[in-house]
Order: sequence, then structure tokens, then C-alpha cells
Amino acid sequence: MIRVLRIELRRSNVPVVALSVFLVSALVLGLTFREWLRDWSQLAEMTEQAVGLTAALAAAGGAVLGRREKRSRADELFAGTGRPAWQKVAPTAGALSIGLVAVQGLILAAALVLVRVNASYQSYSAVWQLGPDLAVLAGAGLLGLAAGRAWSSAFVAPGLAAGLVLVQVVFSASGVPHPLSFFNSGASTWTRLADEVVLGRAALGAGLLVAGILLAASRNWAVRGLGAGALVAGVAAALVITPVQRFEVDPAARRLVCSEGAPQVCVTAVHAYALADTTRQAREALGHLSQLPDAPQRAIELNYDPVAAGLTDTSTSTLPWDTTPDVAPGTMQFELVLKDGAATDPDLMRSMVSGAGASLNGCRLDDPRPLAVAGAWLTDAPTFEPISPYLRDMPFPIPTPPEEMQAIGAAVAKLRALPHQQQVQRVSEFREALRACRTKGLMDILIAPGPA
Amino acid sequence: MRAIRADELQPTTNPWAIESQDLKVRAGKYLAVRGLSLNLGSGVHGLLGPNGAGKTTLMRTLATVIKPHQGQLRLLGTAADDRRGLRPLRRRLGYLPQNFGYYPKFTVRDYVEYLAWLREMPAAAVPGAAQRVIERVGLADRADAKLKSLSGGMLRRAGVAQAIVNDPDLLLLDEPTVGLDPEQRVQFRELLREIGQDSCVLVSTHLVEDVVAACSDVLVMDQGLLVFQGRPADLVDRGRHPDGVGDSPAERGYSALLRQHRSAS
Repeated sequence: MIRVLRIELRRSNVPVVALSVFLVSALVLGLTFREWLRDWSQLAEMTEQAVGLTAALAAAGGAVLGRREKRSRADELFAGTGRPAWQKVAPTAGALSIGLVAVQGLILAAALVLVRVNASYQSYSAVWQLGPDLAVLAGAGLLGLAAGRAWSSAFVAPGLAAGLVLVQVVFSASGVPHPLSFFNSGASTWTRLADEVVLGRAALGAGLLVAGILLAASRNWAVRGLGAGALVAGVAAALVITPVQRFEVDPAARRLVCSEGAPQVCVTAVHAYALADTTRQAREALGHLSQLPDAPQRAIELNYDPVAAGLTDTSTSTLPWDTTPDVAPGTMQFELVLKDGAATDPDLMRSMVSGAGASLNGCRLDDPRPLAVAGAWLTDAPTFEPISPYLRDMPFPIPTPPEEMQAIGAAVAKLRALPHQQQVQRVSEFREALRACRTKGLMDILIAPGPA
Repeated sequence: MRAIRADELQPTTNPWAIESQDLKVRAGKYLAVRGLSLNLGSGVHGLLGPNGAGKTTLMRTLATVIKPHQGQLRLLGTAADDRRGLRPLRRRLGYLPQNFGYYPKFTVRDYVEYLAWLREMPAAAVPGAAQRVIERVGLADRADAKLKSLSGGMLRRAGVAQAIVNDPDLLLLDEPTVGLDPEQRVQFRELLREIGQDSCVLVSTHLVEDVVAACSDVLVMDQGLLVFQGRPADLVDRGRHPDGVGDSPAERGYSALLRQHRSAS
């Protein structure tokens, strides 16, 4: 058996299928490398999407392998040999499974090691996910093998691949995650893949594996019926077990990691790798804010999470409107935006002073210009690029028009034209209005004529 | 030299490797073999017949690839419809189909070893047996060449190698000499005679000269029936009949047989 297995591994299409799986996985994970390098939940999502594609490839490769016997007319010769049907299929199925699992396992294990080394905290749901993902991949390959043996048409392989991708695209098109699609989104910074999702994947993988083995290896209708039953059971179990809310809050990711010394600056464990630069900028911002009475003495990273807030469709409801931040007096929150896994947020200090340190209060602030005026006043800058709270990680930020920058500059000059005591008083009153969610007339508080 | 298995030393009650009585076999809806009664023992038996005579259907039936429609068939003492006996029986069969399939990327050695495994040879014996038969068919220098790189004649020889790798007691060869050059055909005949010393070899072919040169027994089929069974010399004798056409006495005897059978029916 080992000898024949080796022959199949070398001479069948398994090396080509395995190479294709490797390239597609490497492409998906390579293109999103910066997103998941320090983030377990992003890794879980990306590996899932890679498996969604490679499973379709595996099914197609299995179908090509399955039709080999009939296409080459070797079935006539094999039919006169003594081994039972299941033994005749075993080396082919074994080689396909080994090839797929080895290649995908290798690349996923490499990704896991990279995150293990680079992430600031450890979360192992992405590791548990590895087993079910590999079972799904091998199961898809074996089902393709069974399909290729049953129907030797050249259209089976591309049909299977296209069908599997299409089904997943259709299932995930609504935006609400579907248990039978691997193209779901929903991972966010402080989450991990829910255990039930991993369990649902395991059920699906087991169903595919058992069905693939039974359908490929047997010509007995009763056994084939069992195979079809295993497939249905696996799919049904996945549908029942997998929750709609695929990611859950990861307490390990949200745990605060704080700097030594004062004033204290804390980031969540996910971002601990950026603590040094964050501390430098946050202390600079706290220094500017200390011009105001009752200034914050401590800064912590905002860790509002839509998943934690119970929002199912996180793709459209990621903003914490109408929520009250849970912070102790004297502590301010800041939003840390670390693009592409960078260890620094270049706009952190500016975002902290924008709105006098009170902009992340959960209220909808449609006009960021008064926030910019307060920021410019605090940093002694002539003007200030407006920063919309919670929207700093927009992929394509819209540049502020020059006339708006001029208007902000004019407002800043107007504020500075007031006696210093009044300037401080107005900015303080502006900050209290923000804290109380009074979002109308903010610019008037800063620069309108008359007593503040 | 080959090892003697325990079952070969057991007393046997069947002197015939192939025993059929009123055998009928369908090829699709068409009755391709129509009541064939036959007893064949050790030796090399040549099976001749025109296209559509039922030779390939008969060979497939004897190789247990298709089941008889009616009649009795025993192979190496086992009834062909005995499901329990089929697996041990197949271990003792060697078969080269007319259009034998192969995987082009396999090497000659891979192919022979793969078929040896399918015929349930002991794992330890496979590499040695494969090397031996590859040498016997004259492909030792191409043992590690991929099948897709071989000529037609070489492919046939690789096919013969897989058929004899398990030292079969019943060897079925359908058109084994297609593509072989004259020198290779002569060598192949020697190989057949050697195997036929202690096994039953049935060779289906259109080449009358091969049968006369290599076989101890000749069978002629036409329209699904056995129309002649005898020695090659008997076929040559029939070549003196005025009905016969062909370049050699054996060919004339063969064609005369067919004409007589068709005129009688």
C-alpha cells in the first residue's frame, strides 16, 4: 500500500492540485499579510476565506483524478483484479488527502507561527480552526473524486469548482454570515472565532470526509446511501450548530496593557506592540489638554466593539452611536488606528486633542470643524485638519478642501483674539457640552460674540 | 524460476483451466457469444476469428470483467458466478485487454508494480517480480521511462509485463502482438511458449502466423460460435482446401474454415 501510495503521490495529478492549493492560499494570505500578521481574528477570517477557495480547487482536482480511470480506459484492466473496490480507491484517495492536507496544513501552520511570534496576545481559536478547515478541504477533494468516478465528463471538474465558489458567494451576498459559506466577514479587533463556529465547521468537515470516502470507494447503493446521508447530516449539523454571530468578544484581546510612569497610558492587549509610540503621543496630547481645568490624568484606548454591543451585521453598523463610554473620571479614551499592522498611529496626538479630548463620547458629531478649532487652539497651530470621531480608519480618507481649512484657521484666530481667560473658559465649556452630548451650536460656544 | 504456492501443491480435481458449457454472453443487447462449450488446460491456445466473432467478449468474460448471460463457466476450478471465489480466482489471473488502459505519467515500473498490488501480490515480492517481468519483456532499459514516452510496441510489452507479473495460472492476452516488430514478435512467441509450460495461456489475435508458430492449440470463432478447435497442423492441412485464400497454408486453412462455416449456416 505504501509503495502504491508513493506512486500516486508522484504520478497522479496530486502534485499539481497541491501546488494550486498552495499558490491560492499563499496569494490570499500574502495579499492580506499586514491585516492578520498581528491579529488572530483576522487570521481566522483570512484562512477561512482561503479554504473557501482551495476547497473548490480540491473538489475540481479530485474530479479530474476520479475520471482518470475511465478516461484512460484503465477500468477494464482494473476490473479483472482481485482487490475490493474500496481498496482500489484507497491509494488514490489517500494520496489526494495527504497532498491537500500537507500543503494547506503547512501554509496555515506557517501563518499561525507568524501570528504567534508577532501578535501581542495569544488566542487559539484560529489554531482549533485548523483541524476542521483541513477536514473540509480533504472532504471536498474526496467528494470531487467520487463525482469524477461517477461522471467522467470533462465538465464535472470546472462545474464543481465554479458551483462551490458561486454557492458561497450567493450565501454570503446578503452580508449576514452563512454557515455554508467561507467568504464571510465579521472579524474585528477584539474578537475571536466562536467555538460553535469551529464546531460547526468540524461537523461539516466530518460530513464531507465520510461522504467523500463512502461515495468514492463503494459501488454498493446502500453504502452510497450512507455516504449521501453523512453529507446531509454534516451540512445539517453545520447549519444548526453555527451561530449567526460568528465572532465573539475575546477578553484576552481587550485586556488593558499600561505603560510605566505617569501619566498612565493604556492600550488593549491586541495593540500592546504599539504601546511605546502610543504612550509618547498620548502623553504629548495629555500635556496639551492640561491647559484646561479638570484635565484628564490618564488615557486608555477605546475598545468599543460592535460585536460586544450585540450588533450582528458588523459591516454596516460599526459606529458606537448613542452609547455611553464607560470611563472613570479623569480618564480619557483615544482611538488607536494602526494601519497595516504598523506600530504607530501617526495621527494619534491630533485625534486626542481634537474636540478637547471629549469627542469619543458616543454622540453623533456630524460637524467635525469645531472639534478642529479646539484642537488647533490646544496645540497652538494656525489651523487643524478636521478629524471625524470613529472614522479615522476609513480606507480612503477624503482630503479637506482648502477653503474649509481657511475657515477653521479663521475661527481659531477669532478664538485667540479673545482674552486668554475667556479662551480657556470657552474651550472648557465646549468640552463640557461634548461630554453632555449637546452637539448643536458647538462653534458658537467657541467663537460667537458676547460672553461664553 | 518462481516460488510455488501452497495452493498449487494441493491436489486438484479440475484438469481444465477453462471449462465452459453452452456459454452465452451479451455485449450490450447483442448476444456476442452464443453457446460456447470449451475445455482448455495448460499450454498456449490461439484464438482466431474475424472482427465481431465474439473473441473480445469471450476474453472479457474469462477475465471476469463481464458476467455470462447463460451457461456454465469454471475458471481454474472456480465457478465464474461464485462471488466468494472471485477474489482468490482473480489473484491467479493475468489479463491484457485489447485496448489496455494506462496512466501516461506512470513509469513502466510504477505501472507493473501498481498492477501487481491490484492483483494482491505480497508487498515484499512486488519489486523483484516487477523487475523480473520487465526484463522478460525486454524493457529493462526503459523501466523508469514514463509510459507516454514509449512506442506502441513498447507499450504492448509493458502491458504483457503487467499481465504476467503475478505468475498467473490463467493468462488472457487480447491482441498482444499489435505494434511489435518481427524480432519482438519472435521473442514474444518464445515468452508465450515458456509461460505455457505450466499455465494456460489464451491468446486472441488476427495474426494466423503467430498462432501457428507459438500455440499448441488453435480455436476459431465466428459469429459467437466455436467453429474449430485443433492443432496448428490441422489448420495448415485445411489450407489445401480450394476455398482457402491467403499467403500461407495456415491463412488459407483459416479462411477456408470460415467459408465452410458460413455456407453451412
